[in-house]
Amino acid sequence: MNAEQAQQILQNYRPRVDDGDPQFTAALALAKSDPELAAWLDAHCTSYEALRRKLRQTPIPEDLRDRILARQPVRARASWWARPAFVAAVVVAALGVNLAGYFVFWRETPVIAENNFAGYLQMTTVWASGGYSMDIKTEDAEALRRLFAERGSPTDYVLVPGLAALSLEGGNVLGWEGRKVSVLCYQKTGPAEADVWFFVAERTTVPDAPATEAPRFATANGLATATWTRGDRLYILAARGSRADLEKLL
Amino acid sequence: MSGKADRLPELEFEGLVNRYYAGLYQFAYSLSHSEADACDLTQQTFYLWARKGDQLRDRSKVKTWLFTTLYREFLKGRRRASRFPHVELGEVENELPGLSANLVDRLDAAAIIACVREVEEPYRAPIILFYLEDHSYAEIAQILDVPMGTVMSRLSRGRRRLQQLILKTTSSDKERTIER
Repeated sequence: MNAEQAQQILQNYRPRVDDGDPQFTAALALAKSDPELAAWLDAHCTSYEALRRKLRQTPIPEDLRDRILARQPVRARASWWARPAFVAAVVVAALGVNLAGYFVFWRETPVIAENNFAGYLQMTTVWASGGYSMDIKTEDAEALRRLFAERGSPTDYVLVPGLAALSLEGGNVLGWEGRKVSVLCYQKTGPAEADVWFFVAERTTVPDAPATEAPRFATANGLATATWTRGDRLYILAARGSRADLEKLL
Repeated sequence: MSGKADRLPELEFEGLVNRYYAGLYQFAYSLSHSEADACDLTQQTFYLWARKGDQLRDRSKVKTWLFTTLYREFLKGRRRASRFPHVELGEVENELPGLSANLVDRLDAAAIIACVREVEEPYRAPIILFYLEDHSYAEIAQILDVPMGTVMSRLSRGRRRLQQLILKTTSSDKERTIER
């Protein structure tokens, strides 16, 4: 393979996304030893990231998530007692054949993939960076705790010191793998106005989350995030801005 | 994992919505040119998931299933034959200068999306998936229901077309600035 052929192949290469794709392996290896090709690849990757960033800025309608959830049809599994399959199973059971009933009732609930910390971080930051509406808009921290208590999400969280200086705007309860996550939404007022989100989950909700009380920083979906665990709680603090902005809040 | 058996279906649904609705909406919006249509497509996709999702055996394919379904719903809403004219992009476009990040940064997101919308339809969906999401090429092929080779060739052509449109937009912006 020469540099021209490698460049042709790498036209479709996406940094990070295609790193494990074997169709790019040889061309990427060549770029490491060819400075001219390496410079072209660097420019290609920068251009790709710039375009990707722009496209991901498409604003999401504020109420879309709620509209989707409101339109969720009543799932057959939720109203199991009304399912024809159940009725049939009862009839069959009455006849002494329990196999069908067993199948209907004991089939395992499907497991959604990406039940890991990366998936959780992705969910929280996509939610925060997209359009959303708050379940409750309030400046009253206790009213928010009451909502969390009613909805069964964590209430015994410890806020980071910097949040005391921000304006509480409200909160949400999100779902993740059958568990509930408390979200507190804050706004930083003043010249550098910005939204800040504080996510609290049970530690066991995301078993592979970093088990550290020292915050770990990352960027996801355009947000700076800090993650830590304390007691049996997993915390994520997210904001538009940089790691330095978050560190001021911790 | 503990807690599987008592997991509530509606929470599983909500978790999926939280995770994917933004990406699905952005995909739909880039395809359909309309906020209302994009909202409908996104809602319809989750509606179908709620009704038929349990038929999916390989749970690692949820994301691909959602994007495939949205794309099929998009196609269903259009008259395929008239919407998919055979478009030939000339070879001369191979000779376009490269698209620098600085050039892209000169345009705002709305202008970039407008350029994407002008890319002819057979090339537009691969382009959107290429830039927006982290799907592998095999997944993109599955979503679009075309062979992987077709994905790669459509991507090459689509990217050149997008490049051409972005260059055109930035040069007309420049001309307007000079005229002033």
